[in-house]
Amino acid sequence: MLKFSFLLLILTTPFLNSNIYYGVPLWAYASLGATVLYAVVLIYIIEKRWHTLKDKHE
Amino acid sequence: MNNEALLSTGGIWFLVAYLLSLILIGFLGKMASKEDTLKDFYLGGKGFGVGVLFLTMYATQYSGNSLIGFAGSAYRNGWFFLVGVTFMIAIVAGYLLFAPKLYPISKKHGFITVGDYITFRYNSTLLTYIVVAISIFALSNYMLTNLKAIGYILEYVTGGAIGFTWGIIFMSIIMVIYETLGGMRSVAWTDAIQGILLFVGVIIIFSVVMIHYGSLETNTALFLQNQPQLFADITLTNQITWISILILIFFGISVYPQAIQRIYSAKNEITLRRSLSLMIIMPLLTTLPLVIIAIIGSAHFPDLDKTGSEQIVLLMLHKLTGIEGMSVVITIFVAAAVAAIMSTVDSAMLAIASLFTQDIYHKRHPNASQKRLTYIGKIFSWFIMAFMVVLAVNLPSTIWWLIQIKLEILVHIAPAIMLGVHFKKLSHKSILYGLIVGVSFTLLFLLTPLPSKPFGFHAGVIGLFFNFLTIYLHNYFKK
Repeated sequence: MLKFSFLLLILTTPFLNSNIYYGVPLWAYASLGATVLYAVVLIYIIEKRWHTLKDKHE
Repeated sequence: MNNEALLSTGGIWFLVAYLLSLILIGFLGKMASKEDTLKDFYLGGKGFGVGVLFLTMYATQYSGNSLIGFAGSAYRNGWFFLVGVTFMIAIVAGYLLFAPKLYPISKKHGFITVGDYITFRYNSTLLTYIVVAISIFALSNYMLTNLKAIGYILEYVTGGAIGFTWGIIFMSIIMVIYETLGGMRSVAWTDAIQGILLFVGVIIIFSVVMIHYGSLETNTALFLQNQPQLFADITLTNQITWISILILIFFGISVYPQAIQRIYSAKNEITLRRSLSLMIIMPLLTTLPLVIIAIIGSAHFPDLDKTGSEQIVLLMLHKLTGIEGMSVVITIFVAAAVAAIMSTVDSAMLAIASLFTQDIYHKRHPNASQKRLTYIGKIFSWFIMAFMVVLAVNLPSTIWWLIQIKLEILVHIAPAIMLGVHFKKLSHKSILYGLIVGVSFTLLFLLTPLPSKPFGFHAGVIGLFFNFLTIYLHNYFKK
C-alpha cells in the first residue's frame, strides 16, 4: 500500500471556490493543507516504514 | 537592460570573495580525496553524512529557475503556482518509489551512474546507451538554461560592467576549476555553502517583503484592483494542468542522473533517509515564500511581461533601496541566485562527465585504469563546459524550444528505473519498446501540428502513458 501513497497527490488538486479569506483563496488553503498532510505522510513513511519499501532479499 | 549597477561596491567584493572561496573548497576537496578512482571522484567515496548530503540535494534540486523562474510563474499565474510547492514535494515521493531498493544494490555493486544500474538490471548495451543519451540531453539543457541565466544576472546586477558573454565564461571557468580539482566532494561542499545561501536568502527576502510591502491580507484590496484574474475560480483545465504537471515532475525530476548519484553517495541508509525527510520540508520554506513574495509583487508591479515578471523580486527590492541595509539584502539575493545556478550547473556537468566516462568510454576501453578514467573524466569536463559556453552564447533562439522539452523526454527513462527495481522478470525488450513508443508519441505531439497538450495534458505525460501501456502489453503477451 505504501508504494501507492503517491496517489494522495491527486488530493492536492484545487476544487473549492475562490472566496478570499485573509488574502488567500479558499481552494489554496485546501490544496496547501493537502500538500502539508502529504508531506507528513511521506516523512512518516521514510522514518518509520522505510524497511517495508526495501527489497527483502537485499 | 538597466545601466545602473544594482550591486554596491561592497556587494561586488562579497561576490568575488564568495567565488574565490569556491576555488579554495575545490583545493580542499582535492586534498581530501582518498584515491584516484571514479568512485572517489564522482561519488565522494560514498561517504556523505546528513549535513552535506541534504544540502547538496537541496542546492542541486533548487536551480536558478527555482529562485527566478518560479517567482515569475507565480507572478503570472498567481495562486495556481502553489502547484510548485506540491511538485517539489512530489519529487521526493518519486525517489521513494526506487531509492529504498536501489540504494542497497548500488552499495553492493559499486554503481557510479544511472547507466550502471541499467546495465546491471537489464544487461542491454543498447538500452543503456539510450538512457545515457536521454540523460545527457536533459542535463545539457539544464546547463545551457542556467548558464544563460547567470550571464543575464551578472550583466543586470553590474549594470553591464560584466557583459553577458564574459559573465558566462568567468563563472564557467570557476565551476570547472573546482569540479576538476575535487570532483563530487568539491561540488557537494560548494553545494552546501550554496544551499545555505539560498535558504538564508529566501528567508531574509521574505521577511523584508512582509515588513515593507505588508502581508497578503493587507494587500487584498490592491490585488483585486490590479490583478483580479489571479483570484478567478478554478476551471477543469486548471485541474487537468495541475495533475499533468505533478505527473511530469514526479516521474521526470526524480530520475535526474545527478539526483540518483546523490542517492548513491550517501554514507549509509540513515543519512539518506534523514536527508530525504529534510528535503520534504524545504518546499514549504523555500518555494512557498517565493510564491507569496511574487504574488504580493504582482499587486504592486502589475502588467509586467514574461521577462519583467522574472525580475519581480529584484524590482521589489530595488524599490526599497532608500532603506538602510537594503544593499546587503540585494547582495544576499544576487549571491543566492548565483549560488542556486552554480550548484545546478556544476552537478549537471559532473553527471554528464561521469556518464560519458563510465558508461561510454569505460565500456569501450574496459581495461583502462581508474586513474586513466578519472583523468579522461576531468578532460571531458573542460570540453563539455567549453562546448556549453559556446552554445549558451551562440545558440539561435529559433532552436531554443528544442531544449526546453527536456523533461518531456527524460520522463521516459522513469519506467526503466522505477519498474526495474520492483519487477524482476521485466525484460529489457519491454522497457526498450516502451521507451521508443513513449518518446515517439511525445515527439509526435510536440513536432507536428497536433495539439502539444492533448486533452490538457503535457505531451510527455501522454507519451509516458503509452510507454507504460507498451511495457504492460509486451510483458503480458510475452508470457
